[in-house]
Amino acid sequence: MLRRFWMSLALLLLLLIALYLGAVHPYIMRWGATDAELAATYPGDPFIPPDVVVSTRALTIHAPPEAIWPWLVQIGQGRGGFYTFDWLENLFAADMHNAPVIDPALQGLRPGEKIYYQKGSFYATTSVVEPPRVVALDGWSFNLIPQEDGTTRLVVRYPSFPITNRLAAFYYYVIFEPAHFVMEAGMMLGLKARAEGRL
Amino acid sequence: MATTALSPAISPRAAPAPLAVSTVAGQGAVWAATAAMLYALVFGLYAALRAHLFVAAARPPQPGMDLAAFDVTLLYLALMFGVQLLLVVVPLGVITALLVWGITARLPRGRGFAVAAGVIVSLALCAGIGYFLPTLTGDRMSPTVYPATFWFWLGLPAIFYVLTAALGAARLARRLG
Repeated sequence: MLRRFWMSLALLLLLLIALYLGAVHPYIMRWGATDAELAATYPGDPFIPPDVVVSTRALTIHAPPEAIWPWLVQIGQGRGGFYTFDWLENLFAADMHNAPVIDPALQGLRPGEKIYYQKGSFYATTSVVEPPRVVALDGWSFNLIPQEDGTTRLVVRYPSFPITNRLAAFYYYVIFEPAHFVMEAGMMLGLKARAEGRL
Repeated sequence: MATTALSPAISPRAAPAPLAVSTVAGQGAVWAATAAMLYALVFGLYAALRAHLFVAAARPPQPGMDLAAFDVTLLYLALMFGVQLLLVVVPLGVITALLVWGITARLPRGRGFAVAAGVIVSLALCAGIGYFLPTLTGDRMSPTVYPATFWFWLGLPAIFYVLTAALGAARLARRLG
């Protein structure tokens, strides 16, 4: 019975690795982004360090930038949360709570302000705030691009941490990048749901 | 010609071969790894299902592809986490198996004694880990401050661990005869 379990598990793991590397990874690195969005330069780009892997993800929100901005500008631990899977974040002592409403007290985000990912530990520094278009946390930028039909393209560009050796590369590709996709794409969907008034 | 061999039911029972340290350690490693990967698999399926429902309700750009990407990524992540945790879990399984073996050999024969040894050893090791962990993690593993973190990393794995130790000890008792 144990042998059967391990054989099945090994097969499942091999299948998942093949699926992830062969199909999912190329898809999630530019999830929803057009070629033009991929090639574009964004205000957060100057804060992207060298030796990093960059992902660009995008989706359409059926609301103007002005309706998305109040939600976007209040992100952060101890603020409005990141609108993603807080039940996963809280497995890592994040103390994350996604806000169901816009908080007027959190609307004055300024460059230089610290935005925490986890209570009292990891944080990013706000590098760009251009209402109602761009928020960047270090090189991680959230860009709201209005469309002619009244919708908005949310384009998120994220630089990895510097990958300077094989251990960092292993950790990044095996754990960090897939985890980051789940959380970032979940955040984009959470932001979309809130801005469209579906939450 | 009639056979002279006795049927297994009436054969005299052979004395069980003594177990080698490496066999016991190996069994401990296998049982611990199995429990850890089972935990990772169950969690991966739970996480994929829960995220699947969220993503489906959030109207993603390409529902079929996006749901598949989330499902595959979460299950892949859970199992890869499980594989990495084997670095901690396997040595713990080896230590537990050797301790249970050492204690069981000094107790009267019987599955009940072995299971009790398994439960006591695993609970003692849990208590030891629980005692020293706050110095490494601060209040991040506190059941009152971060209950989700505590139950995911310590509470549920501890229950899995004690059950696995009890089952492994029962199997060990059977092999000891």
